[in-house]
Amino acid sequence: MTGLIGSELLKLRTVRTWWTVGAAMAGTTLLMASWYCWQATNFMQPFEDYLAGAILTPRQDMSAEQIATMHRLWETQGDVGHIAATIYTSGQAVGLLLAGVLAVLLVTDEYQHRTLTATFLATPRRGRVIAAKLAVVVIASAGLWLVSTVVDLVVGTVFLTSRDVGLQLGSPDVVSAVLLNLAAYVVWGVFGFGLGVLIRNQVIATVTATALYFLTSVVVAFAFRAIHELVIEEDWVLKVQVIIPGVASQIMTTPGELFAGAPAQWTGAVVLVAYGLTAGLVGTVLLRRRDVV
Amino acid sequence: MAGKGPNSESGTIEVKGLTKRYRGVVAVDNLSFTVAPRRVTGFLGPNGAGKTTTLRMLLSLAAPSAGTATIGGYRYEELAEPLKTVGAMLDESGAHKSRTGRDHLRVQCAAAGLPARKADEVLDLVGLTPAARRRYGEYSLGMRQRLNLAQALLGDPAVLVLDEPANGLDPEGIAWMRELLRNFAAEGRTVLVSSHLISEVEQTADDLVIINRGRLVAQGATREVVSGLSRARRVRVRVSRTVDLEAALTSAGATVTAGVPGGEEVLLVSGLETAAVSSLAAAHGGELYELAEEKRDLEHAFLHLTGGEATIR
Repeated sequence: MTGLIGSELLKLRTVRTWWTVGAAMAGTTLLMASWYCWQATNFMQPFEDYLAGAILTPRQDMSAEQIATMHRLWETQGDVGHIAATIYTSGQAVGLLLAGVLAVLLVTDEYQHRTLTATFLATPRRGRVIAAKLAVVVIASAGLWLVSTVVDLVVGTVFLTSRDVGLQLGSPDVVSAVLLNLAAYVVWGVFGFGLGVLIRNQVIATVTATALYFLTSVVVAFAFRAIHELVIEEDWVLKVQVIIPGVASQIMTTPGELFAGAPAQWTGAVVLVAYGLTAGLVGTVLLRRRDVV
Repeated sequence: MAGKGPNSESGTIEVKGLTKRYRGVVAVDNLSFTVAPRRVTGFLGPNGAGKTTTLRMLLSLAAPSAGTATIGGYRYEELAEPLKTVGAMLDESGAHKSRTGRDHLRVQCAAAGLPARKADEVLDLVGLTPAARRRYGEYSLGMRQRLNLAQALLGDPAVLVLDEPANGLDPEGIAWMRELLRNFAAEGRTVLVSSHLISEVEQTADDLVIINRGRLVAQGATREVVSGLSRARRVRVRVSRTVDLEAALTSAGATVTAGVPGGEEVLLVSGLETAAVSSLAAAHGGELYELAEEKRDLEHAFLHLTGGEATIR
C-alpha cells in the first residue's frame, strides 16, 4: 500500500497540474491576504478615525444606537486575534475550490489520458488503487493548505510586525482557525475525489465541483425560506440547507451561526465528507465491475 | 512463483471456454487454447475477431461472461506480483501527455515495488533513452509503442503478452522486435503476440492460434498450420495434349479447372502435389510448355480460413 501511495504521489508530482494549481494557490493567497491587511488597517485605527473613514454621515447626525453598532463592529473586527486568524486563513475562498478541483483532476486524469490500463496492470486490485488515490487527495489538499498558510504567515508577519501587535501564534483561537482551515481543505479534497470517481469525465466533474462550490446560501436560502414560510413552517427546514454542498461548506468555515438557526459548524464538514465518501464508494463499486477501456 | 525467474508451470497460459458478450454481441465465443513457455505463439485473426478482448480478459482488464483465462493457474488479478509475472503491451494503453516517458515508467515501478532504476534499464533496452525525459505528448507513434514495450519489460516477466506490437514500427523496428521475442522465448519465457497479418508472425511464431468471430479456427505448430493452409495451393500446367492430361489428372484424384488465357488452354490443378502433376504431364501431356505452382500465398490461405474477412494490406 505504501508503494501504491508512493506511485500515486509520483503521478501527482510528475505532471504540470500540481505545480500550476500550487502556483495559483500561492498567488491568490498573496492577493487575498494583502487585500485583507489593507482592510484591517481601518479597524486598527482609533474608533473616531475609523468612524470618520467608514461613514459619510457627519457624526452629529448619527443616533447613539448607530454609533453603538459601529463600535461593536470596530471592536470585533479590530480584535488582533480576529485579524491574525483572518490573515492566516486567507486564500480559503479560492483554496477550497482548488482543493476540490485538484482532487477531481487527480482521479479523472486516469480516464482523460487513458492510463487506467497501465495502472490496473501494475495493480489489478482496483479498490486499493482508489484507496491510494484518496490518501494522495488528502495529502495534496493538505499540501495546498500548507502553500496557502506559508504565504499567509509571511504576509501576516510583515503586517502584524509593522503594526507592533505581535504574531498571535500562541492564541488558541488563531491556532484553531488555522487547523479548521486545514480540515476544510481536506474535506473539499475528499468531496472532489468522490465526484471524480463517480463522474469519471474530467470536464463534467470539474464543472460540477465548481458549480456546487458556488451554490451557496446566497443562492439557495431564498428557496428554503420560501418553503419555510409557505409550505412547512418548522425550523428544521432551514437547518436542512446544510445538505447543499456549498452551504455545508459555508457553515463549516463560518465561526458562529451563518444564519439564524443554522446547524453547528461540524455538521457542514460531516455532510461534505459523507457526500465525498459515498460518491467515492459507489464509484469504486462500479469501477470494479466495469471493463477498462 | 513470481520473481524467481521463468519456469514452465508459472508460464503457461490457459484459456478455457472463454466467452465475452456485449449487449447481444458475442465478441469471444467459447474460446479455448493453451500457450506454452519457451515458444513464441502467434495469436491471429482479422480485425474485430476478438483478439484484444481475449487478451484484456486474460489481464483482468475485462471480465469474462463465461470461462477462464489463467497464467500459471492464476487469474491475473490473483497474481501477487503481476508485473514481475506478466508483461503486457496493449494498444489502448496510454500515458499522461505532460509526463515524461521515464516518469511514466517510474510510476509503474513504484506501484509494483520495483526499483526506479528499472525504468532506465528498460528504456535503454528498447532504445528510448534519448527521449526518456521528453513528455509523452511529444512522442511519435513508434516511440509510444517502444515505451509501451518498455513498460511490459519492467518486471523482467516470465510471460509476455503483446497486442499488435508491430503497429507503428518501421521495418527496422519490426525486425528488432522479432529478434527480441525470439530471444525471450529462447530464455524460457512464454510469448503471446497478436496480429491480424499472418505474414507478420509466420517467421517468428513457433505456434499459431487463429481465431475468427471470437471462435478458434486453427491451433498448432506454425509449420503444421501453414502446411495445412498451403494444401489449398494449385499447380498451373500447360501442355500440347490438354484433354489427355486432364483425364489423367482427374483419374489420379485431382480437381482440374481449365482456363483459356491468351488463347492457349491452361489447367489449374489442386489436390495433387506438384511432383505428381509433373510426372503425369510427362507421361500424358505431350509437350510441356509450362508447369508452375500458383502463388496462393499464406495471406490468401488465411483469408480463406477466416471466411474472407481478413484484411489484406
